[in-house]
Amino acid sequence: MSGITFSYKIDGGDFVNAGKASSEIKRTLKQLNVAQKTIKRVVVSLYEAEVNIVAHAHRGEINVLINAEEISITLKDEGPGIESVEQAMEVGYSTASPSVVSMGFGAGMGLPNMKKNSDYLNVESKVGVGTTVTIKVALVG
Amino acid sequence: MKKDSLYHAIHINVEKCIACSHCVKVCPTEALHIWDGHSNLDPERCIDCDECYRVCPVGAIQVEDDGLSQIENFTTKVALIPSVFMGQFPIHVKAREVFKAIQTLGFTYVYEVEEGSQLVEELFKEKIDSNEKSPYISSFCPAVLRLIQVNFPQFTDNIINLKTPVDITATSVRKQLELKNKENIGVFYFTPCSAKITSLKAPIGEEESELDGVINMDSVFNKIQAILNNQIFIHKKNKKEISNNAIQPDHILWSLTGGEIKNLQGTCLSIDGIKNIISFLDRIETRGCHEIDFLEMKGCDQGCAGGILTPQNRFITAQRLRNRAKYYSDFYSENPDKSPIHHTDGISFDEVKTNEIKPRSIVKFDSDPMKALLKMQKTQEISRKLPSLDCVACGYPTCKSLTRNIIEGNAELEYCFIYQRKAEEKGDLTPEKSKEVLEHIWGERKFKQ
Repeated sequence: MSGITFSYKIDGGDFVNAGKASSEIKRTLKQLNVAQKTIKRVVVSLYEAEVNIVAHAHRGEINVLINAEEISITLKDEGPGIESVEQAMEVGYSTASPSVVSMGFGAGMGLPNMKKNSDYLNVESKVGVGTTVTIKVALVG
Repeated sequence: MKKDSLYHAIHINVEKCIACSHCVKVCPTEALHIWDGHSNLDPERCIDCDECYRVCPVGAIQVEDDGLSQIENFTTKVALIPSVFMGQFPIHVKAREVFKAIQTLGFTYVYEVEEGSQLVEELFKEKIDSNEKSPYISSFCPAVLRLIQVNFPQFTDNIINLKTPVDITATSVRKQLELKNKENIGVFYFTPCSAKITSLKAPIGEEESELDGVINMDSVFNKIQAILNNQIFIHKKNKKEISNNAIQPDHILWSLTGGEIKNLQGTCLSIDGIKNIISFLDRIETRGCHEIDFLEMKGCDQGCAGGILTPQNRFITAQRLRNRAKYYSDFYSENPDKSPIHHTDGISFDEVKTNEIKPRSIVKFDSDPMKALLKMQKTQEISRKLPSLDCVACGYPTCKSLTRNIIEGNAELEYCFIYQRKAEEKGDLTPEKSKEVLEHIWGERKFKQ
């Protein structure tokens, strides 16, 4: 069976609206009667990823595909990219500017948290071009 | 009182209803829609927040009232008075006088609800110290509990499973009176809102309520006021017992916004107004909220002072209660020997625990995720055909709500008057049929003038 898709545009630096896409996807998962714990995992990783775009990139796009087995989220941004994805996956590693940190973001927990809360995480990045993050979480079992 | 989980104290008087749709627009859970020329309530979705009652221009939304005569079924008649009732009277009216007036109405004893707050406060402190969950959520407001059950099931785990001060005081009072060999005790609570009536008849987290009945505040206010004005108190020998020094001054403010967190340590937040609560819970559901220890949430603006059955202005009521609290606080510091006595001291925490509050989602499209997904795909198809206007002309509050009801088989696309025009152009619908549909929704009355 084919799934259901959603798409959202994200503006870099727009902290006012950071989290809106996550919130809408959360609502969808509640409507689908996905288990509470699973919703929590999806939302934690998605929110981290959404805030990453807002905090670091110029703009980005979130595409969501939900089918009976899993939710698959692709977050593609145009931005500075990540120099070392390996380093970024380490707990506490952060390149966030002091102003971003002062807003309560950029604690270096983003990618580690996403890894912890998803069943599949892939980060592809090109310095000076942008980053594509793919998150998958199984909805059953 | 036995359980009927779909009972609500609010009901719609279809004779009075003019199908103006004001209530439909304000309902936070989309529990109302217009059909057959009047508003209709979906008992599964209603959370007893009373928002509809506030906006009804013709008084068609009514609160069930069991009246005063119900107390005649009992020999020992106990009135439980929340502080907010005292806030209906100016500060110069002494609590003692109001209590005497309540006895004149036929009650044997009068007790203050917030006696039970002492115990609740102690347990709140214990829970916050345990640091097991963040945030803990107060079990005070039944409308908030129902909102969490139906819209934010994730947070049912965070609710402190604890009886409210009313139920605790009811238990304690009953115990005291039984020790005095009083028989056939009936305990009645003076309620500021419909949610507390619903809680009596359909308790959340309890098999049975501790109360025997509820007295609507607005229905006794005039009677009490008349007794006070005319000073026509009935003094009977056996009816002298008044408990009016069993409550901490701070607890006079318990039912107001911020009243529960006044003496709590840690990061505590109080939020009032059902829409504010929804947007806050939505926010922390997405972003988490590890920094908050305790959440006090009250469905009405200004807490219970804003309840629909309170006759006086909520801001004046709140100010009066603050004045009363100050008065008692000064009085007790000058007369330490007259400090409040805690009748609830002998009650253990185990006695005041409630069952877990279970989720009862109204958000889900279907219990089976596969079916839910199919329904959601259908929803997307239908949504494209609707104008996203949320004009309520179909009888439902939003295009989304109409969509959901089409999926559930309760409504048709033809209910939408913009869709009607498109269908008429294509020849799928005749203007006569369109009018017939709208007449069915809004009633013939609206088309006759």
